[in-house]
Amino acid sequence: MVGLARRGDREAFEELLRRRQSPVRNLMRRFCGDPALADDLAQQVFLKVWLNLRKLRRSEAFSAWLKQIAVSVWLQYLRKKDALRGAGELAGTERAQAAMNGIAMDLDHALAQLSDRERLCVVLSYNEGMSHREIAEVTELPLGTVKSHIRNGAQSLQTLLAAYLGAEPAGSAG
Amino acid sequence: MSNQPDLQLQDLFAQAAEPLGGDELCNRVMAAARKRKWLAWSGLAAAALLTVVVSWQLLAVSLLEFAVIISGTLTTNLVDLGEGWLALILLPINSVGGLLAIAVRAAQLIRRRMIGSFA
Repeated sequence: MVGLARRGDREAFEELLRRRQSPVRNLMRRFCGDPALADDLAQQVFLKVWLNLRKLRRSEAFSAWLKQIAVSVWLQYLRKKDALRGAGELAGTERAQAAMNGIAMDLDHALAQLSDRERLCVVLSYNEGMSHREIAEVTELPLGTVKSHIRNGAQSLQTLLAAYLGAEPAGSAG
Repeated sequence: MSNQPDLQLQDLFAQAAEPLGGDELCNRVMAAARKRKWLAWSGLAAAALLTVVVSWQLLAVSLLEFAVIISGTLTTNLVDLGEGWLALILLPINSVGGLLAIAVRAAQLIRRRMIGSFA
């Protein structure tokens, strides 16, 4: 399917989009905590995919490439947001969250308490199952910084989400 | 602390992921792709049109200038005869254009003579 889409097959791309949209939208929701914004960002991701798919050399690399585009779209959004005003008010994006399940809402609320970089690294690690090295590559952050962000972010989440995590205090897990 | 992920936290992320219907997003992406393509083609067409118009303008001006220079050169008098009747009579041949015409005619005659002598 990726091969067909790479050759410009519109129907193959639409099918690919249908299959991959849910994980990408969920990833974006974890990043920004706002379903409407997440969908806008996911749209940008797939538009970039459509425009650059021919540049992808190996079809097998599609999943990693898609994640890389998703991260770059998110970082681009953060840079634009920072240029306009101070960052870090994701906790206030409660509109349109009514449709989300309780866990997702609480998780996104907890994620919003983390710094942008911590959130990025934690989501890529826990939501996408990426290794520290992969995260360092895709975010262009030093490996040590990635590890530190994940450790600190996970500790914060364990405290904030103690009710879901068997009420274990921060720092006791992992 | 080790680098191993917290499994409970990982499980929480998995539970938070919801299966989402993709029709609306799919339509939005394809509409945006069509719009982008249309904009690209429009930009290309506009650039091509602009290139043609600018080239036409530049070429038209240079052709006009070229014609002015050529006509000015061809009508330049070889000998200044003033404005009397002699100047009027000799006008067809007293110019660069006249000299060129005489030279061309002479070359044709010489060529014919030479070809005739070899024939």
